[in-house]
Order: sequence, then C-alpha cells, then structure tokens
Amino acid sequence: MTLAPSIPRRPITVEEFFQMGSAGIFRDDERIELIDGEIVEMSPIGNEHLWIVTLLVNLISRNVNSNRLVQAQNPIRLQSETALQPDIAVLSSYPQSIEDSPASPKDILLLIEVSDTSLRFDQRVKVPIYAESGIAEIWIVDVAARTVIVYRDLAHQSYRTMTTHKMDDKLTPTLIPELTLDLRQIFNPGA
Amino acid sequence: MALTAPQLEIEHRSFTVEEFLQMAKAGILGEDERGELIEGEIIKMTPIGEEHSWDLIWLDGEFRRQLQDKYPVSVQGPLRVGSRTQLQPDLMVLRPRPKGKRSIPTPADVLLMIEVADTSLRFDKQIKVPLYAKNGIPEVCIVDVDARAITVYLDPLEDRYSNVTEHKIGETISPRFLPEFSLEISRVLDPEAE
Repeated sequence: MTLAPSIPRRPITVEEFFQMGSAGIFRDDERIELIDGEIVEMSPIGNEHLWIVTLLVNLISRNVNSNRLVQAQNPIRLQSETALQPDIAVLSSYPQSIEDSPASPKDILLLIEVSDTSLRFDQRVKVPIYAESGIAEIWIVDVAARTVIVYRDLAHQSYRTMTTHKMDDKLTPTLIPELTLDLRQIFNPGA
Repeated sequence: MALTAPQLEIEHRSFTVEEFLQMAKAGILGEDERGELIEGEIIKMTPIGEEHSWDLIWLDGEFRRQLQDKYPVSVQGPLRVGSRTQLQPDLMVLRPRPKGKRSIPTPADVLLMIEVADTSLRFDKQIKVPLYAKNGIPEVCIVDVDARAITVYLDPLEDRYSNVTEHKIGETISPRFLPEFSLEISRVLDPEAE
C-alpha cells in the first residue's frame, strides 16, 4: 500500500533527527537527509563521485588559510525541519568543542555538491534550500558533463548569478579569496 | 516544494516498528502524540475532539458492563501489524489470552475493532479500513460522530470488506463474534435522550 499524499505525515524536526542518530535508530552507514520534516535517502556514491569529493577535500584543505575547516559528507543544520548533508562544506572556523551541534549557515563559506545521478534533485530542491538558508555560494559539480555550475550573489533568498565552468577554467570562491581551483585537477587528476 | 514529485526520484526513509518504539523510548516521540506508524510512515494524528472522547467513554462502559471481564478491552492501545505498521485504534475487543502473554496485540487477537471518527473519518475509511481488511480483522465499526451513525464492516476480502452496513440511532447492533453483546446505538450516540 502506498500512502495517499493527502495523509499528513508527522514532520520530524532537526533536533529529533539528530536525536534519532544519537539513539542509534539509523545505521552508521545510512546516507539520509532531512528536508521539510521528511527523511529522505541519498543516492549511493559512485566511483567518480567518490574521487571528485576526495580530490576536492584535499585540494581545498591544502590551499585555504589554516583557520578554515573542510567538512566532507556530514550534516549541516539549515532550518527547523531541514538538515542536509552536502558533499563538502568549507567552514569559517574551528568548532569550540567536539560536542558542538553541526555547522549552520553562518559558519559556511562555500558548499559543494558533486552530482552524478542527483543533478536534478540538487538543482531543483537543494539549491533553493541553500539560498533560503543564506548560504553565500554553491558549486554543483556536474559529473556527467564535466562542468561546475556556480551559484553566487545571494539576494532576497535566491542566487542572482549562475555560471557554468568547463575543464580549463579556474575558480575562486567569493568568501575564500586565497583559493584558486583549476578544474583539470578534479576532472583529470592523472594528467 | 513537492519532494514526492516522481521526476525527482527521491526515496523516503521509512521506519520499522522497532525503530518507532525505540524513538518513543528515547523520548523523541512524546507519550501524548498518539503516534501511528503505517507502512513505515509516522502519521500525524488529529487531536481528540470532545464528542469523540465521550463517545469512546460511553462505548467502553457498555463493553465492560456487558462483557464483564470475559474479553480484554483495549482502549487506544497499540496493535502491531507486521514489521512496518503499528496502529492505535480507539477500541478493540480481544480474544482472551493465556496469563503471561504480554506481547503487543496483533490482528489475530482482535474480535472487534471500533474507530470513533470525527475529523479522521476519511482517513479511517480510506486508509485504516482497507488495512484492517488486509490483515483479517473480522469486524470493524466506524462511529461517525457527525452523521450520528455507525458503519459496520464484515467479511474481509483482500483489502476491503464485502459486507458493509450503516446503522442509525434507534437501531440495536450485535457483533458477529460477540453475540452476547448488543449495542443500542442511541446509548452511545445520543445518551442524553434517555
């Protein structure tokens, strides 16, 4: 039986979502996110996705100021009923304590999503959530097209600029001026 | 935002009954939330209205008076239906169990199921009745608070009941599997008239 969409599901709050994690309700290897009070499953990680994320983590960590922190595939709190798990979040500073709650928009300088099968979902659902939550800049790595789509110039909860960058482009995030990323390094690392 | 838009191909992470009970135990679901889990989804239940609560009190009283402890009566207690569904029906008359058997009742324990429906009428008729039929609950009564009527569902056949009758104030009904019990509908739906 599938539930008719008119049936009201009980929404889950971010607090409850993280409590469920601590209470051991989810398996450790589960890839899930909370969107508008609903828990959704993330797509599995393919080879290209895996390597691009790994390359990005390393290239970014080595080239940003030492007070910044790169977080990979861990949750961030966005709204009262939304917590997403972007592939990469570059944070402006270190946590005060390892017991701190997950990073929230004020801590985030750049988010990157590496999209293979999830491109439409990332663009249609996640980018608007990031804009509403006040994230300054988003990069979507379109694995199939070997391009990076950059969303920036946030105003009135939407991104005014969306640009697509190819393999031979170099990118510098607005809030991380010390970093320049040559896209060949992530799409063609063996060259 | 429509997450369920089919073109986005997003899967809900649903829950098992074990996880649902664990959440209640960990204090994530409040005791007063009357949470139900249907096919892995936690359902937001409607608050209980005044008429709903009194109708249920009258009904419970009738059952206890007439059945005199021969059958256990569960009021808003849990019913476990497989690994991904746990319900909280308004009233169930159960088969007597040997002492010491303490597990949550399952459909095989149920002789009669009653749902008192005010705002939940559509949900009860469209979602719960088919679920009860599919799981072989022999008889279901839906008390329609607004219409002052009781719908009786008998003879489960796949996900529906093949024998559905409606009864109004002035009638007396007797459950098929509890022939010693009879219910004057006016005693529940119109108690002030007496």
